[in-house]
Amino acid sequence: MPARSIDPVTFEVIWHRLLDITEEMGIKYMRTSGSQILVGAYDASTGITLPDGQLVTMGPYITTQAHVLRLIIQSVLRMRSRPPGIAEGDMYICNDPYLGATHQPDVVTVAPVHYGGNLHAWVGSSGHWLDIGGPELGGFNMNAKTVFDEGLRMPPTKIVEGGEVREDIVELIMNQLREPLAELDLRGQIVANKAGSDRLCGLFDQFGPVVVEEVMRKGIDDTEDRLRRRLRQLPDGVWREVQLLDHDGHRSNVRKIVCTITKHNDQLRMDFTGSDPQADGFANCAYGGLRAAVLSAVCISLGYDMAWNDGVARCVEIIAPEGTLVTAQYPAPVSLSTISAIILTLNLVVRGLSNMMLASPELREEAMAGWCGTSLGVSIMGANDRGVVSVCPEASHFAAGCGARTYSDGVDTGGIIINTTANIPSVEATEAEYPILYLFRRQLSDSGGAGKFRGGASAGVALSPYAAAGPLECSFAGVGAEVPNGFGLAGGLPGATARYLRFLSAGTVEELAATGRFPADVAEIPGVRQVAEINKAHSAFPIDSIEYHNWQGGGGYGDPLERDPALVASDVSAGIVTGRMAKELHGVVLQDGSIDERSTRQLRQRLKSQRTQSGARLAWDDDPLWEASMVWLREQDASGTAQYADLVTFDFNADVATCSACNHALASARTDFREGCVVLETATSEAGAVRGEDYATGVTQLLRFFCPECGRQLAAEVTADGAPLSRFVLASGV
Amino acid sequence: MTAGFAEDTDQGTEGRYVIGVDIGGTFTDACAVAVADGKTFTAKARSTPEDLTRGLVEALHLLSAEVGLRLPDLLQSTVKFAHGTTQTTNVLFTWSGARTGLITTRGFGDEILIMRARGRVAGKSLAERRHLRATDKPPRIVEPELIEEVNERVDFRGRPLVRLTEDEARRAVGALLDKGTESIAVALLWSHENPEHELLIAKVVSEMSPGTYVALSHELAPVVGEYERASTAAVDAYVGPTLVAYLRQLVDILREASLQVPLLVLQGGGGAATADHTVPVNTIESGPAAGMVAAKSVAQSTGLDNVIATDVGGTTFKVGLIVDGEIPMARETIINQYSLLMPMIDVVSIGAGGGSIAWADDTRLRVGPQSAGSDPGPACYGWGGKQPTVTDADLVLGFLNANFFLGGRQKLNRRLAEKAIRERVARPLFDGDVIKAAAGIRRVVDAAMADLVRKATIERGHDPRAFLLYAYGGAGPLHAADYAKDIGVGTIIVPPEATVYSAYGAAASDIQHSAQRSVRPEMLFEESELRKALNSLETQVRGFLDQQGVPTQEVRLTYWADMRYERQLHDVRVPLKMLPDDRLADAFQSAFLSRYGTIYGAGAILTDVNTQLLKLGVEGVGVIAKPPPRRFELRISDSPLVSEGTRDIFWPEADRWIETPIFHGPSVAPGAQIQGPAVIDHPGTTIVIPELGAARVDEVGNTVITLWGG
Repeated sequence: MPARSIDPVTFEVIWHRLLDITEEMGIKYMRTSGSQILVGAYDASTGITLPDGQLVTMGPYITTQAHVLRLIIQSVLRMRSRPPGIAEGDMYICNDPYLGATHQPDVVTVAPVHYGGNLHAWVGSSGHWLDIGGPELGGFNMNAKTVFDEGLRMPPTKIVEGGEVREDIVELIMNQLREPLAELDLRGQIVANKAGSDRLCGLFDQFGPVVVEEVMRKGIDDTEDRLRRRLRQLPDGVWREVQLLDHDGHRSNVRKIVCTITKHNDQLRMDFTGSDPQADGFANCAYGGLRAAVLSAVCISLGYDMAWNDGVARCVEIIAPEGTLVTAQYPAPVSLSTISAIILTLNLVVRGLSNMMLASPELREEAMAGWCGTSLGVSIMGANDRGVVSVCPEASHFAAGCGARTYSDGVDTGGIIINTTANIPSVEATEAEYPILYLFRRQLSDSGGAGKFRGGASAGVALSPYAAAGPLECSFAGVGAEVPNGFGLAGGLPGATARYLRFLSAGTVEELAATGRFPADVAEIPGVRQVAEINKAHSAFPIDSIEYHNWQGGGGYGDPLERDPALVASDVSAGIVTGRMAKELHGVVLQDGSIDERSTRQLRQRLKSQRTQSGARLAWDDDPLWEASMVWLREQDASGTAQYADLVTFDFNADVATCSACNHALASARTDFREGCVVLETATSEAGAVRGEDYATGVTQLLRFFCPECGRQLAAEVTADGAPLSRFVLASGV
Repeated sequence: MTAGFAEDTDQGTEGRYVIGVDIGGTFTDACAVAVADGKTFTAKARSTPEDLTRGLVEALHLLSAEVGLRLPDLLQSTVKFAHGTTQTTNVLFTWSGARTGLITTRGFGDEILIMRARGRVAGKSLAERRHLRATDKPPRIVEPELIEEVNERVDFRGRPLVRLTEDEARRAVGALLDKGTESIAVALLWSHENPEHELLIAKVVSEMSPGTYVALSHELAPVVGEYERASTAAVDAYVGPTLVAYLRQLVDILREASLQVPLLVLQGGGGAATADHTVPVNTIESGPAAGMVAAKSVAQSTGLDNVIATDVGGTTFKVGLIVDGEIPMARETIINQYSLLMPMIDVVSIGAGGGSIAWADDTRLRVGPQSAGSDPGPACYGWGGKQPTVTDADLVLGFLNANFFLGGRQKLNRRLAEKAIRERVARPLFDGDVIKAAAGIRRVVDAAMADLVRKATIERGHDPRAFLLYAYGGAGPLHAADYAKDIGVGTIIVPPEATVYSAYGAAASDIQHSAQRSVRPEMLFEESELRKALNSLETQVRGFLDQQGVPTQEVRLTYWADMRYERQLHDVRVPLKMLPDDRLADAFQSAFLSRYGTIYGAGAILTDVNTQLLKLGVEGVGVIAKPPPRRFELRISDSPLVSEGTRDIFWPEADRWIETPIFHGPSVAPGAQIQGPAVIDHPGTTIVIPELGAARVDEVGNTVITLWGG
């Protein structure tokens, strides 16, 4: 039956019902679970797919968690169709990253939905379990060299058979796990799938399975159509983006993920050739993770007003050679992937698409600077004074800085980009459950990247063991302590890096209490300050020590010297920006909190003229990879004009790219305009405090590109020795 | 204390009245119901934002004229006087609350700014959340410079680690007062486990600045979650001073005017409490809650189970549902992205109403969310408004009768309406075509309303086609046919009290109170402790109901416990209708398992995990006797009613002028049938019947509109 036969109201009713079912599955899953990661940070998703696994709808929460369903269902179909086969009332559990999962702690349970004996859909739920076995509680093994050093890896396994839970399989799984509470995560997935499957059958009863399936297909087609229309609003061209992964799991070791995005007409091609080889540490991701990252980024950047489903996948071709950081091959370890290679790849694609949108008059407003570019896994382990051993997944870091917009600042402590439903646990809920005491949870000054509109601030927390049976242990997993990954856009600067400090012999909670005052800011913490190692298993957390960490801030948008001084002044009075950053990066002079307009004007003039004094240009070396991607583009007959933000004007007929502020001719319109810019290369710490200085290995640099004539900051990026530069060339005017 | 009307009064029910008053952004509505026969009188006066009591007194004067009594005589024969106010809601939506300071634990002053990160998307639909670029945290209720951290710390067991000194409290309070703080919220970590420090701060404020309003988080919401408690306290402090001053004044005025019974104030949960016992944050959304109470009582009397209740006032459009005869409640309510830990009736709203201002946003026509309110009001009121509103568009298109608005008491000036539309909308967007501009305004606002109805129904999994739609509020019946058709609803009911529906709901309300507390999980197995805790909550609730001094027919109590599996993070509310004689733990545990199984399915039940008790609560309703519903005799006629005249109306849908039959509301009797297109002019509202529709008036006075085709 053709889609056209469904009247619009019936379509709307069924479609919204499908969305509602997916959302209800998510809510049920959350309510059943006992995991702080799930409930406190919503690290999960749910979805409905077609019989072949094509995603129709996805639930709230983490976007990447839903995008894995297709590959998992395809694995189930491929591996389990032979007898006994896939039958009504079955459910399959799977968490194998080499069969589509992102990493082992993200377990997926899928259920075929049969009606009248035929398979009409699948429902699935995916979420981060409290524990997945293996050498380390919580699932991150920092010492892992292969996937065998990580947690339990399940191929598609029949966990529910004919509606009955296979308790033998449940026990088999639970026997591998230390944390019995993880059973609630398992049961929660079954509950969610059961609810979804029952409600879908209700929908089949009401409208017939043929009509419902047709609505599902039309929902995917609609998204594809809408995304293609949107792509046609964007200029054709080639955008190469690079993100730096600064820790492979075993050591600080800056590596690169490279993607060349070609946009032609209504199709995107993402080519990851040039990315570094896979690491022997757990920071890699496998293909399933790469795909989830790319699709999530396209949904976020271009599909913001569409249903998120596999209609998006039809518009995106992913090319990725095997064995790179983003296409790790069995048996490479990948358990950190979601908060390393996956989130970095997502950010990389968001950056490329934002640069693309800045060259489209209709979509310019949608561009965003980078949100907090990485994520963390902070676990505190030990027994409380009642003898209960637990792992606290300290999740405050999900209150991360958001990227600046083209018209306003990024949201402070607003969440991470992969979660549509931002959330962090309350201090009290965490203290009630775990043997720790929070000393403070505060927004971090200067953590938002400088810009005409600044990035959103991140925050930091300080913790001490409390009501514990003895010393605790702490694991701090993640990347982004050396490289500020929250990229700036259109000349904006990157946000803060992550940082993990320990203060030894600071005093126990009781000793601190006896002084009548707890430290309430990082500067007030007593004891011996240590910059703690990232991705080191089982750091001791003695009861007289204090653990502090902060996470990445959002990137800024536009030249910081163009920021409204009144905004700078109010940021300084609110403590979100320091006087130093106000002066050095924004060129604003404050006297007792109010703006000294004359000095500000003078300072800004001086800073601008200093920018171009060196006259330094970057050597744009021969770059075979780039040249290869340009072959297609050079065949295009470029004409007309294009405008990139309010920064650069491209005139293809005259073949010139000019600075939009002063009309200075920067370069040919058929090359990257940065070739004509004066460049300033500095340490990343020049972008503000906490920009990797505590972890610097000396291989990363901050590059700022200025118009040689007027000194306007047209671009800024973080690069590393040996990494290619980000660049883009438009194929034609728009 | 418990008695019905008949027993309670010397003269029986004759000549006795129940009065409900509701203050909206534009109008103040009053309604009196005769206790003997349910005969209902209504009146409407202009709201007076600078002093709301003036509009209220004016409405009462008009009401007493309708009844045919002098105001003191009416008030003397009033057995119940209930009042709903949208004042606190309006304060929040217009961000016009007190300059509010927050005192919190040292190290945690940013919690109210961080908003658990969820503040960026709280209350937003999934579709809105996915547009990440367009999401923001809300404007601040507490500015960062008015957040004072105090040196104190209590642990999770309620044990003070650092004691708050009086000097420190004085320093913080002094600092806030120096900065011109008008109202203070206090939210310290773990204050619900140990309120001493919050109480000390309250004492210090009362000494240093006796008039300053103080909101204590542990009193408002004694539950875990420092951000939610702080947010609830901050919102209470923000709206508190305005409401308290207002109620104090109103009680005096009404007493002076001879009211003998206590003033009852409607709460967001749908119940009422006396002015003295009203917590300001509790009155947020009480107007819409009252409307829902009215809708439920009308639905019950006509045997309807599934109703979409829509209220179009001057400033907001609100939608609530009655599903299977019940009004869904929300445990936590999000208002302007802030969390409030107050049980409230689940009503969603947007800034769209008769007073919504139409404006040119670059090349787009936008309507709302700003409203002209009652000052200056729509341009056509002639009160000085220069900006065109939805009401102006309705007038220009001919939907409104310039000479019969509010029964003719408010003349509408068509010339002023045209001028405003021409200057602000027609010239920039419609080449100066005023009619096209007016039609555009009406379509935009109707589509926005349809979207909200869709959100409240379809997006929650309800098929709107299985519902009837109630349209009330002054502008509801004027727009309902358009937004109903858009979502496939076939039947619209305009109740006879459509224009004063919230006032009517206030009149139909009962006294309600609930008490709750967090408990130690082990208490589940300490039978006598558990019983003692529940009894003490019950005493608290009964005491509250008694203190209201309002005669009630009966008191209905419900006991509940929030329970979960050990270490699970979401709890399930388990209700018990009565306390069993056997072990409470068994009753609660079996109720938990059955409830858990109902919600999550039998497969979710765990066998070897302990259940835990988190919170206990008691809900009490003091039922107030209700007048009987009024029934009319139907005068059925075979042929549709013949109109008394016509008016040229430009129907945006048809895109042309149609000479439309007009009916005079008061002469359309129960049993009458009217063919569309038609308009019924009532004194307080205008009912629009589209071309593809017909209306009839039923035996309780409802105008029932049936839509077809299209």
